[in-house]
Amino acid sequence: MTTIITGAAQGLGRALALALHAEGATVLAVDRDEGGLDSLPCKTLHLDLTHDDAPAALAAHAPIACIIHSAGISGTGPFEAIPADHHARILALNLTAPMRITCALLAADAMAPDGIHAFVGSLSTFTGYPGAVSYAASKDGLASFARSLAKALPKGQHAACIFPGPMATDHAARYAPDNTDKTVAARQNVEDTARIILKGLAARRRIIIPGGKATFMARMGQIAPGLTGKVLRKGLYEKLTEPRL
Amino acid sequence: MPHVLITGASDGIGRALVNVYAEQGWAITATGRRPREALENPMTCPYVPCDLTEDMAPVLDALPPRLDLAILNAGLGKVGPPEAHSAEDIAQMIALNVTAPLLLAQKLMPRMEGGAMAFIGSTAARGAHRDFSVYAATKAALAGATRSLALEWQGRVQVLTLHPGPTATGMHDKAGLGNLAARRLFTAPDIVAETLAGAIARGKNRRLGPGYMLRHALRGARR
Repeated sequence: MTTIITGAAQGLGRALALALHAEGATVLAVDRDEGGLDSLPCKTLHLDLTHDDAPAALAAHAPIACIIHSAGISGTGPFEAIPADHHARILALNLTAPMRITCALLAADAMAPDGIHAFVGSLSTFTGYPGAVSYAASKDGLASFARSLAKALPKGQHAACIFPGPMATDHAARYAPDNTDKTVAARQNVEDTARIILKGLAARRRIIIPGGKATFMARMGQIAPGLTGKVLRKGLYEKLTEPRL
Repeated sequence: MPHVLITGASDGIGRALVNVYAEQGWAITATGRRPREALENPMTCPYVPCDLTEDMAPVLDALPPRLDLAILNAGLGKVGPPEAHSAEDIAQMIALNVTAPLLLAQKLMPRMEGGAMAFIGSTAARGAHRDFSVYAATKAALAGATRSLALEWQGRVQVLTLHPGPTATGMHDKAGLGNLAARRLFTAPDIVAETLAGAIARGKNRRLGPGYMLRHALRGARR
């Protein structure tokens, strides 16, 4: 039985792979960044998830106990300043690839009878994300897909969506409007986030919002969407004058 | 005379929207994938046959330098459990339902300051129907984009998201939905188009939930 983590070379994917490996799971860490995979203690696979052959390459590791779709890219800045092909790339990796892989794994009967499909979404599903339109699009798509999938799966299998807020990762540093000490200190530690996620998956929860700060923001987005939108517009979008790809 | 662009106008809700705006005296540019000869009823307004996932230039070239309203309605659905979706099905739905309207919006923006863009989503976007998993995800993605885009463009272009419910259009046959009895409850496209045009005129997002469908089904049955 294999547990597959995509986007495992760095950030949350790496923390999840390390935590699962430490628990004794047979982990397959997948990434397109070969260098980042080298230093992992588990099995690794160098793979571009948007490639046509990617679903078959993963299905070859059946039976799959759990697959966590953690690979993702973003692009922040004014929507019209981000090149069209970058918008398309975000959708291809963040949304098309996980859906294609899920459909193909089911068609190939590659999941264990109690297998878990987990998707790393974003807190933006609860709050909106001015300054990252196509990223927000891809993550809302994943959240919706996970909900429908839960109904469609063979009995025993499980689908979950994870909604993390900003974490102390290269991803956040790359796309955030600033990386001052104060902003960086406010980001959640990836090891803690990974631990909460794995606990939630073990309990077979469908919606996992890791950490108190993310849970608070999610509630704010639900209770006061207008105010939350205004705060994010001011705090994120208005500071993003140059696109960050 | 205000000018509106309507995509996905060869059939269904898009076609009905053309009729609504024509009655209201708007100048219209309509576009759809079908060639002009394949349209069931001839259209009086300019119609540009165009596959938005391949090349948007024919539509952009046909538009006036200033546009008041764009209704990005073109969409594609496929019904079936996840394992029955091919890579091609998924790629097509993402391309037409998400990527194309976003990239078209990006191209239209410069000629639309002060105007409005209305994106047609679906009540299915919230997910949880086993046979619409990928379609629902693409509509949720579109709604996720427009929600954030509305915040970005506030004060410049009004961004609206309209979610029709089940409508009696050709989409369900193309999607592979069987001849269910429930389809008799689906709302007629001309009624849906009028409701959507009303929401656009008021500048409001709108979701046509099951209550809306049932109200109109009952009204139709009483007639």
